[in-house]
Amino acid sequence: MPSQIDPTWLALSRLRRRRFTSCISVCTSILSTSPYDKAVWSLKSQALSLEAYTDETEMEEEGVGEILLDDNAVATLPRPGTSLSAPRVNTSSMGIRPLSSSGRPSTGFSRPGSSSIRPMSGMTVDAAFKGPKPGTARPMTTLGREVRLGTASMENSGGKFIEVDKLDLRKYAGRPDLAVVLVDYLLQVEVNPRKALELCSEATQKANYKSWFWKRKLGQCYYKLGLYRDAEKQLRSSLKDTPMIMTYFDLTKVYLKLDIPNTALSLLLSAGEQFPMEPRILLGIARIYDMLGDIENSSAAYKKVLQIDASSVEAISCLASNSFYTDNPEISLRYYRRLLQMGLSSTELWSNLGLSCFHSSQFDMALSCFSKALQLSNETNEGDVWYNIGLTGVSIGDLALAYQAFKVAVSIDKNCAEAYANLGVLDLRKNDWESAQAMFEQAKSLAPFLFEPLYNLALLQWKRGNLEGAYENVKESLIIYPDHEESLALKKELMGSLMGLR
Amino acid sequence: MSLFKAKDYWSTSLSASDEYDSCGITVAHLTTLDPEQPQIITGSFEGVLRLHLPSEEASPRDLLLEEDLGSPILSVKVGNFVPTNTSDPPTVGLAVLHPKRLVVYKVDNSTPTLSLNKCYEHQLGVHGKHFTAANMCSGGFGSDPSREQICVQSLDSRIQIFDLDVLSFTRRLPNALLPGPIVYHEKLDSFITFNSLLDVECYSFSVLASAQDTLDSDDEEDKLKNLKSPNHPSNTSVSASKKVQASWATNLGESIVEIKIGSLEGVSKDIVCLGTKCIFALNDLGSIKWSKFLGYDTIGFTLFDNPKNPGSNNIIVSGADGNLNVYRSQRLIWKAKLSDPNSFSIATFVNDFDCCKGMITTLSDDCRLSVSYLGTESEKEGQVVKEGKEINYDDVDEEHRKLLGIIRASQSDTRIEPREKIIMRTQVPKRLDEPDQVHTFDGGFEHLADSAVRMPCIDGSEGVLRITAKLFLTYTGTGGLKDVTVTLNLPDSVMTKDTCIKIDKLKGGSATPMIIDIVFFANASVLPTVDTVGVTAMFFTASGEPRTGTASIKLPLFFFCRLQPATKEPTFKFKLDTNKQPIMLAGLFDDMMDVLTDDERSAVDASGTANYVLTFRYWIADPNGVPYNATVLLSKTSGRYRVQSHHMPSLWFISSSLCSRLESYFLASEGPDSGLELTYNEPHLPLQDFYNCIDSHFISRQNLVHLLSLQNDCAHQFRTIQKRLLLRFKDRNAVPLNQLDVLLSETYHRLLEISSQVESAQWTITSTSNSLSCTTHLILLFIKLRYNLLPSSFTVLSSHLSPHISSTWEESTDLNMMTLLRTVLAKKNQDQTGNLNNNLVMQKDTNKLKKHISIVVDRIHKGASLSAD
Repeated sequence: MPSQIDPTWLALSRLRRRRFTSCISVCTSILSTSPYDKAVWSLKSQALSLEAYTDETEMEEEGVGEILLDDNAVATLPRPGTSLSAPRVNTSSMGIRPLSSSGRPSTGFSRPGSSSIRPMSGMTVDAAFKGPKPGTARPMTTLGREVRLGTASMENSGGKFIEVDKLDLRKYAGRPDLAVVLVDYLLQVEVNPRKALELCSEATQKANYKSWFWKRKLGQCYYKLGLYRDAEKQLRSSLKDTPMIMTYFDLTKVYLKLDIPNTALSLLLSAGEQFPMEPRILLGIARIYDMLGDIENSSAAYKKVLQIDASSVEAISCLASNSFYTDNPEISLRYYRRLLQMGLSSTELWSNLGLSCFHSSQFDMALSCFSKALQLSNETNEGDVWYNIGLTGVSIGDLALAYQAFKVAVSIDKNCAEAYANLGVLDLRKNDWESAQAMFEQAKSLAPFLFEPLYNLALLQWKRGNLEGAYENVKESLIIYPDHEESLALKKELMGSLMGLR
Repeated sequence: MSLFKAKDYWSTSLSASDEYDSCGITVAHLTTLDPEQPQIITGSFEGVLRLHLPSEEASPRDLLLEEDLGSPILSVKVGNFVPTNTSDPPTVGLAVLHPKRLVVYKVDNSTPTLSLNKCYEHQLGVHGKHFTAANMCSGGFGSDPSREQICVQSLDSRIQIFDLDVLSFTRRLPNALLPGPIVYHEKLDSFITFNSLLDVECYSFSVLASAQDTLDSDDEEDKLKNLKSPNHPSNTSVSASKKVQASWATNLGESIVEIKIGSLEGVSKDIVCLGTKCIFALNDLGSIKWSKFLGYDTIGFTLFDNPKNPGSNNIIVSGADGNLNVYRSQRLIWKAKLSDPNSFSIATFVNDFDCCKGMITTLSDDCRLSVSYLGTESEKEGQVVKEGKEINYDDVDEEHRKLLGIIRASQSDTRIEPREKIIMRTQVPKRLDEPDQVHTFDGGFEHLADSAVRMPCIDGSEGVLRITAKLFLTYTGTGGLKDVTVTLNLPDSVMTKDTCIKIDKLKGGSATPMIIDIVFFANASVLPTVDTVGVTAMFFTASGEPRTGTASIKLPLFFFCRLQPATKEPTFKFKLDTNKQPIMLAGLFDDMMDVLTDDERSAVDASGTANYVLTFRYWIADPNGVPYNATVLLSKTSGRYRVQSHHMPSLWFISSSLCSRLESYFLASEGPDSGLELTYNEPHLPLQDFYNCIDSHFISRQNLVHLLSLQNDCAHQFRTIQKRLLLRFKDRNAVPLNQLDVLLSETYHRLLEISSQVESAQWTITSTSNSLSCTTHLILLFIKLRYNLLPSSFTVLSSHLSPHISSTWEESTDLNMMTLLRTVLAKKNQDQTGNLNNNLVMQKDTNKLKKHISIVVDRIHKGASLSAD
């Protein structure tokens, strides 16, 4: 530490330059000599909070614990389009667009929450344990990953900084300058929304229920405690006082948790009128349209995002995947190329580039893209690349390559249901009925939301004379995709056969 | 993520061990050396002040001035701070903020090297006490743009205003635990600052100037100290706050990093506040004009003139991810990554240098000072797929082929048997063992002695017929095996001492095979049905996996029967036609001839008849003591054979041997395409004889059932009598016996009698079963030959009409026949399903069974096929 400089000022300057670790160490040394320096105390809590900051405008991943302990009643049989668990308003994209591991159409951008369950409430605990690292990927606590982040930063600071249990929150509520720091500390570092809630309610009382800030924090605390309706009330009230972008984000999150996407959508749309140049609101709109399966509106929203913020990776990648699945691989190729130019280099990007190249007939590029993707891959996404290579193999008729690629995919990612389904089809071509059936069964058990394995299984069983089983499976397939022509035809045929038998 | 990279025009590294605050740099025209070129002034925590003048080719001469001021530099500012003697406005000077001092320098460029001249210096705070500077701002306070005054804010949020070399006043700002950024808003003549309540506040200069502040006095200082002490937590109000009142305050909800005044739309001046997550534009009254969520961690920002719309400002926000984000109003118009990818800019300036307008000066966190422009170089150029070394396609093909081979081998359905296995070979001698070695069945095998076939020895005494087969065991794996178990599966007509042989250790590899001698004895009490003994060797591999090896020992015909002079008493006979020339019987059964003694041979082959007639004598004799025999006759003209016997079951073994010998003979002489056809050449199948056989078996079963029930009754009676006797025995005053003792002994005798009857009935069943088995074999053979059944059909038939006689043979065979009739042999229009009575209940008679067998044979006769396809 340079001499002559006041350590408090040094800490302040470092905090501004986001050198949190050195800032915290300076504060710690000051506090060791004068433990009651409120300014330094405030600085240190700020630094700790910022260091442990998690972007709460994003949906967080849901842990197994949340699903187990989630007692928020959500309509179990929502009407189509009103819930994220029955999002398919139009089924035209069915069978074209792949589904993520939770059965939702995959988007071009992997964002927190999009791979998990709720707002996809139809999810079961079984499914939550799937994935490359079942159970461990998401900690089994109600507050998810935040707890881990909190404890990690506490270790850095050496021991507990604030004894939360001994705090006299009423006193702090009377000191708003400390309270605003403390509430962030409680939420971000301690992850103690219960205490934070106490503080917030005291503070908002002190502010005569006029402060939008305290209402928003109160809403956040309620949200973290899982009291979504209370959170909604507070956030609504906060918005009435002062409409702030961040408050809108918080409220949207609450609505998505409550699985009422249409309300969230209308909220964001009204927010978009207030903040027309805010890309994050547009992104939020696009995401919800995406979740509801409304590709056209989501694409339009993503395009608006790009007009305001041309470097939005999320918008570009989602547009790319949207245009890929609407049979415009050339256009998606251009989007992906732009991502590449922006300095992005990931397995997923190269793999998507390879697919786009392949479908726009640039075969020479496709394979080198895949090999690049494989170079960059790790165990979590290598399976997907091999699956894509397998699809390419099927398309060019190199079935041996396809078979082996799918095998590799399955060996890496044992939950890759699509690869199992395709292996089943390839086994059928080899007349290996038993193996094909086993593959379809496996795919069915891994991904009950895919209709392809069900239909294929039904077809196979029908051919082998198991009419009963075929009927059961084709029925399931039609539940998932009611307009699937082939399933309908097979069902008719089966009905005929079964009636004839009786 | 940005598409482009900021291209460095000029850059230099300041001493890396040093540290700079974001206020410790400014870009301004400080000297008049080159009026077109602004200079970059930096002041470090070590107290080193540097003056740089970027030039096109970076050289050490760009550093115009470097001076250690001896005290940490918190902030530098260039403005008209130097008073002149005349009434001229003050001239440009450099204000340097040290923790306890504010110094204003003038740069003297009269000498070849620049030098700093101190103009004046203020000790901060009252008498230089109780004041640690945090930051400063400057401006024409009091709406007097001609004089540029400096406002220094202390760490505990007091401000001191200096009008050139004169201290104007000191005031405390309320609500400020920590000093926030502070700027002067000209139009409002106010200071805009940020307090610890997350409010942006506006303090009018005139209010501040006129407010009373008694902080100068010592008692107020004490009060302030008390405020900080924990003993007076309730005393939170600051007395000055009553006086110093903010014009407005707006809560922005997050920490504000930097505040600047600029005109974003070119209409009015906005207050632009950069928070940690958002950027806000406030109007003069403090209401939010717009706010924008940035989505990245912010460090600082700068405003610069929009070249397209003079008078309005664009924004450059520097993010912690090292990007510079250029916004026109709320729209992101450019994004560029700093050339140093691992750092971010803590201070950013936009100035016109002589080379180009709008150059961006950045000071990165690792003390790298650079002047750059927004180039169009892609951020990671050259990040294309690197073609590896030249691919040798031949090698690749070779490797691919090899891999394919491995894959195919692992995918094929046929499992490759492990190489470690036991191979067994058997050897059966051409002769029986010499019976002169008198064999005794001691050691637990006495039961064999009763039924073993006796043979006269050479010395005339009685020996036992036996044959010693050799079993060779080889283990192909390396090492050895422990605990190998060899099990023999014997037919009824063959006996041996031990059916289970344990081998402690078997050497592997190329060691000499282990040889086991197995001595077989013929059973004189049953007719032979099959002549092979199954051998199974079981072992565990090193990995604990159980494995087996199998072999079979085919015992020679002479072990089961012997030739005798021809007899002709044909009760039962059948003709077997072949489409080939006749084969002399003596040749066909040469092994039988070989074992004969000379006397016997001459008896058998009297006058050379052995070629046309041979009589085989089994070891078993009929109740009259005459051994069963079977005779084979050969037609002298055509390949027609006749097999005859006085006892139908006896036909089977010889006929089966004859058929297999004929087949192997023609296979050996003419190859597999010999076209040998064996035909059963009788008008009818001897079904009635078969039924008789079934009946006798059935009757013996019924008899046994009857006897068993008798035995049960008798035993019950015996027990009852016993009980009564015991009662009387125990009773003290017993009633007379009333002949109960006689009754007991009678019942006892009767019980013994019945038991011996049961025993004989059981024996009868064994013998009738044996006969039935032979007859069934024979009938199957007839059906096969007569209707020329395919092997698959024959397998179906023989598994339904089984020659292996179980204890419920009649019932199960009946069920089997019904199954056949309802499935493969069903008439087309007949219902194929329907329940069969699966209960095996012993019927009263065998009429139904006979009828069903007849129908089956009838259907086969009509050409129905038994096998599915």
